[in-house]
Amino acid sequence: MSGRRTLYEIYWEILVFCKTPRSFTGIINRCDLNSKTGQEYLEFLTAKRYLTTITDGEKTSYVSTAAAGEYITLFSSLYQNLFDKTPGFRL
Amino acid sequence: MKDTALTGFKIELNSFFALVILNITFGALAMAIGVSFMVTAVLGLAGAQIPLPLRIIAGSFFMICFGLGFMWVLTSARILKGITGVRREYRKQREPVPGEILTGWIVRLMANYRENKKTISWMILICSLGGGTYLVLGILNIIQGITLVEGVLDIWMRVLPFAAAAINLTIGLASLLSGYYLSKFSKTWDRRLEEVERSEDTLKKTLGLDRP
Repeated sequence: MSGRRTLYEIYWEILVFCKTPRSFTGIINRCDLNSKTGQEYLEFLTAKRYLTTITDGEKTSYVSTAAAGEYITLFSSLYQNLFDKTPGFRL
Repeated sequence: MKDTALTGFKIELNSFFALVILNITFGALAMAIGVSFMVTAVLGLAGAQIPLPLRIIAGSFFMICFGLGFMWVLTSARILKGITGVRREYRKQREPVPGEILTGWIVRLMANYRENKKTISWMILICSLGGGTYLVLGILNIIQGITLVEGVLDIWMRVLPFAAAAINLTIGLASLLSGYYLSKFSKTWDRRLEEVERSEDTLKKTLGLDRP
């Protein structure tokens, strides 16, 4: 996904994508991030315990934790409310 | 996933898609008319009695119209690109739509609006100015048609200014209408952006993302 996204939207995308274990490359490709910022976001989410790493030999994968589920639910609810509350646009 | 959110999303997606398509259509029409009138004005086919400098001025004006039409089509196509992906996925998706999928679409539309916010503001301004100009041109065509009626015998030469008036008035009204709807769209999404900013505060506080 490209375009101007907020930090929280990017966090949400990463956490949803990582519901199943994902590699670093897979995450930055899917979430349209460069390596540097991708690494920063993953480090942040790991430090906050929203992501955890699984190491299988040389391969490291990231997976969302239960705490991430809370964030995902709250985020989804807030964004869907945008179409519930605000009078929408129609022709 | 809330049904009302999905219904609102669906209506909005289709409305905005239709609005952008309408913009592309009228942009293309403005291009075609611009070229046609530019050639006519420069070559003096519409009336050999019109002096050359006036024909050059008219030709330049219609060349600008062509350029604006071209820009309009390109800009609208760029905006369209941002929503066609979501629309395609929406049409493929079977109901009930999972909440995360809907949220993902909302995030994408939000990103698309942020990216095109400035362009849309310009489009609203150009729609209003362009619409007004085309309306004035249409009115001038009517005046020209009325004043020509007595002097010209050829029926086509009599009808031509009225046909031009009809085209100009249609484009003028379409531009004004397009500007009105774009402005309505922009206001709706600006309110959403404000709402998102407030939501981010909630996300920060609730989940402790604001703490180091």
